[in-house]
Amino acid sequence: MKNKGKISRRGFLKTGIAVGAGVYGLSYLSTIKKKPKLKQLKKHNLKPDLVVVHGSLTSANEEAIIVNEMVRRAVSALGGMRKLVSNGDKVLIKPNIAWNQAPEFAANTNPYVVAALIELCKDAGARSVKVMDHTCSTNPETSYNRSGIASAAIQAGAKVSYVNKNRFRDFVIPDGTVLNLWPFYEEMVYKDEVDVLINVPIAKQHGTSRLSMGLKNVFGMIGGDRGSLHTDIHAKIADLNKFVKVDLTVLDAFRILKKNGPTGGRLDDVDNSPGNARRIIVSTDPVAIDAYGATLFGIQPKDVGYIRKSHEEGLGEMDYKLRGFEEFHL
Amino acid sequence: MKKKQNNWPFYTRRVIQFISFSLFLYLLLFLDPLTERDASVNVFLRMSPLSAIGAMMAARKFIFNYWPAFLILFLTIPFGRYFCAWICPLGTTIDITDGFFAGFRKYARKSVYDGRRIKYYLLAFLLLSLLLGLQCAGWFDPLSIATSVFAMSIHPYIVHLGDSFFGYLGNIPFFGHVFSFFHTFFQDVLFAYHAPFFRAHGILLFVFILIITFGIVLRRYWCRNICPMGALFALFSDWSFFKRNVSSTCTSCGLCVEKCGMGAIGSDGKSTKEGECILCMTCRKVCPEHSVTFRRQQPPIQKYAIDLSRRAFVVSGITSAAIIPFLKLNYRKKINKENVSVIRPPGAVNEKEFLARCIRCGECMKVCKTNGLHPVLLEYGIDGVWTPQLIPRIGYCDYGCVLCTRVCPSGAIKRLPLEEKRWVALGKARIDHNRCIPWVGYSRLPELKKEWQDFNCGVCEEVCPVPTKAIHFNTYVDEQGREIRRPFVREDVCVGCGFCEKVCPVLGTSAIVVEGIQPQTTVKKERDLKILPSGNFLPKTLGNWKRITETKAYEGKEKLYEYINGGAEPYLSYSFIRVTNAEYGDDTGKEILIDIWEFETAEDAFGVFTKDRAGIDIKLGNRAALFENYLCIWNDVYCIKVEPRQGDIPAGEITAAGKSVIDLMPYKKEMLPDIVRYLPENNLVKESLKFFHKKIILDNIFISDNFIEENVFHLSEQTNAVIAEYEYGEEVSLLLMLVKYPDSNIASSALEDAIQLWRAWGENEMVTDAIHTFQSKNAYSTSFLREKHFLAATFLSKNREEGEKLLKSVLEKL
Repeated sequence: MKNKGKISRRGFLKTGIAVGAGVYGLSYLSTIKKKPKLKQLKKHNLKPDLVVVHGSLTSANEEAIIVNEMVRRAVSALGGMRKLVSNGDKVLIKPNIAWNQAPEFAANTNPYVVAALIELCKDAGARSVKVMDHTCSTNPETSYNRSGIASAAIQAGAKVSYVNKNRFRDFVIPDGTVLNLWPFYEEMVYKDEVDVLINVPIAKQHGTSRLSMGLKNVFGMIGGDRGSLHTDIHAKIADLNKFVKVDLTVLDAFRILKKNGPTGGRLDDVDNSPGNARRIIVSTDPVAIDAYGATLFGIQPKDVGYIRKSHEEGLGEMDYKLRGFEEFHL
Repeated sequence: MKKKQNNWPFYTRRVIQFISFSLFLYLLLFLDPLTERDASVNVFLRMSPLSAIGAMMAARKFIFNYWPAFLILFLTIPFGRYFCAWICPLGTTIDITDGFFAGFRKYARKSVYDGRRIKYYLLAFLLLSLLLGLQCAGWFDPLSIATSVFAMSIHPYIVHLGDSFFGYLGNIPFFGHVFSFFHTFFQDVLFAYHAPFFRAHGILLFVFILIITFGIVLRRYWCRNICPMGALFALFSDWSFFKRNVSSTCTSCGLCVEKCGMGAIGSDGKSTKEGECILCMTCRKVCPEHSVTFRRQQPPIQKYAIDLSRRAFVVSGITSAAIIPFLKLNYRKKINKENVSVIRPPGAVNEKEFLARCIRCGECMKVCKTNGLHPVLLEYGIDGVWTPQLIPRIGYCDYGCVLCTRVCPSGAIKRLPLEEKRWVALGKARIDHNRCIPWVGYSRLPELKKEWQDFNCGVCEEVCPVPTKAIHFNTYVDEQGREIRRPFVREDVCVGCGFCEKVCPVLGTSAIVVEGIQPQTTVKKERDLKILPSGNFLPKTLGNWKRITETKAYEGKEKLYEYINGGAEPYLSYSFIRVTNAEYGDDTGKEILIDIWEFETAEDAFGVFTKDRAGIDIKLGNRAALFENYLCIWNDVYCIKVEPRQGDIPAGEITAAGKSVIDLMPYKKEMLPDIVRYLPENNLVKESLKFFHKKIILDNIFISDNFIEENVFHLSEQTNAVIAEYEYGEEVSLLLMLVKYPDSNIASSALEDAIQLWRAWGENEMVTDAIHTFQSKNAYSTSFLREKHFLAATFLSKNREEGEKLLKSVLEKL
């Protein structure tokens, strides 16, 4: 053939149009994808109580065992994980892994708490357990590793993954007072991606919002410019919590960070005395959790703006003893 | 029949070249995890004799870290210019791209310069400029070029390309998952969750394209004519044991001439250009007559000398002498100080030496976990081009990371252990009050008063990784209790990591900006910071007052006895930390004394204030009282006392001095003890309220005719107690005491003990509901009530009903 490897004007136009139509057609296909359903709160038979388990430590080596046992006892006091997680459920555990800091500084959730929850979920028949957080460190790897959560979770049989920046989508917050639209992480809000969402915060002092516990931990489920949320933060925390459907909150107060939070870095600021810390608090009501947590810092729950706002807007009960309160020592 | 020749040297070369190039790519791609394990990831960079000589001569120091470079150079003596064909990653890259250009080369007109001399002149220029103290060898070092091109241009391009390609395909229904699966795999391998981005990647790519495009005309053009490191090896290659020999069987067929990548073979196929053979073994392989061997001796006729002109050397010498002062000129006038405010990586040696040592390889930028290190372009002047700088808006310096200090081959960045690195300040953060949200809010206060908006932010304080925080708040509160918390930087502890600048939500330029400092300093360690914070509130001058004594501090129990022997016990019943004092005087000879008492909690400071309060309440600090010209202020964890020492000082001046002290303190909201809330407010005499823990305070309050010897109320550090006066019209008054115990058992035993004591005094006992009331002979009644872990009591009531009524209203509040 004479014109081998060459293309005629007509051929060029034809191929151009065909390729263009193909590419456009494929992208069009991707837009007709059905909009996935949003996750709702899972129906469960857990008690509405707030359960506080105290534990003490005589030597540092015991921490793994004691914390594990505390979490187990706390969850079983609530009715047991089987009442929440059913066979074949996809569970997502969202600890606080925000900072590149070792566990003893109480900047991130205690890895043993995360590990214990993973084991409980697996025992209850969960198909998969995933652990993730949108870290404050630019590079999630540093926080995941230094916090000890990555290795503890993998060992306990969970899948540990980083946040994928392409998977934040804008969602409408139905009755938001100051926020109407914000990007949330798809894997934490879509029904077919997650059945049970467990929030595992740690109790810390926080400069802007005073305290960081369950309600504030939702900042790790969102994308966008999180810095800009810090003006009028209390109303915004309440709004964000209207959208996410957290089934169970487990507050790690085994160590609490009393000063220079939320990053910490000084053992002097970490309180691990039995008087204020050394406890695990479990409830399905995040507001009750935070209200109890505030008392550990000597703060009245109603003095923390977002706890009061969340309570007023019906996200939970600020009087944490109202729906049942159980407290015991290990 | 010809003997069959074994081509093992050629294939060995190919294998070693392949291994070496793969290793190079592997080390770059997995730089982060390997550096964390402290592997020698910079081994290729340390192999470069050009950089080694460059860094050492410019810094005028021997750098032991460069021993592989000397090994390579030493091996050049027996092996010639082997490095270029066997190891050099840039050479391998050019070999690969030259393969792509083979088609072009067929038609190219070979009228490009191929005189081989430029590289020598360039080398001469670089070495001479080193003597003049300018290190630009790195810009021409093939290993530096390969490292930075692959790390900063090619890797990010591939990652971005893959991300967008798979991102597009992954969205398509039905078969999208397949691509998503590949995407995940691809991300895992290339660590592409956060696709790296480097400033000026385009310039690097341009340089790279320039280098490889010569391949259109001639193979390995860079190695033949430009590479100064090649020139350096060539100078050493004359003693090589492996020189190209052509035996008499040569038919001058010209095959080797055509195949030689370096164009080192003369057109007759017999002679070899001096210093150009890189021992790639291709000519040996292609020769149909097997006439090529490599031996120590080379017949003189087969040597083809490259004539270097003396004149050209002189010219390159003069050029470097003339050009270098120009390059060293900081053409940006504002950089007329030593400090150029570029943020260098942690551990960077002082600026002059840094410029001398840095070989511009980009390894530190590649390894940076947060992608915060980027090349300097012209911010610094020409001699700083391509050195690393931290751009906090893109990425900050992680407080727990030392990777960049581990990879530097030349020691421009010192190795720092993590513990040491945490105290190194790269720069200092400064806040722009015209951009910072709370500061702008504060300046808009007059208009805000009408319609309040929340202007609080504080993200910078939140992320500050310094354990004691380098950013703190200065809080303004209006009459309605609304706050604006304005951040400020404590420069003495700021490490300049730039996390605050990174997260600042102000659009565009951050409202908090880090400026680099050179040389980097070590910040004060925490324990140094602990010295007498309350001493900071007693500066040299306070308004018109000048300090006339040293600031003295009495910390802990023993020292307090030294200060006020006898009166110390009541203060120690609160969580006393220290008292700091100083005397101030003015020009007219008046003198005042200021005591600052510091306690562990604001509640205890409040307790001491209530204990010592006298006179009228005035508005200062959290609370204040003035008795004639004695002033007592409660503010946060401090209780401040100002009293006259000498001269006639009006109350106004005392108050002014107290206000100046308060102004120095950070504002804290009034934190009243919890128990105060339970006091009924009707008829309460607010000034009479006293908060305490231990019995010693109660001893000084008249509550009954008999002195109470035993601690019947079981008061201790664990108990919070409050006592206050209630007034009902003229002359009718009583005292209410409320005690909160750690648990109800102690409360009930306190009640029992108190009742027993009163019984022992033989007073009339009456019980109504849960209230025990005793009436003494002079008609004063005392009532007790316990509820949960609280004990309430009224004393000195003339009227029994009033006391019991008050207790009932307390009960309602509990």
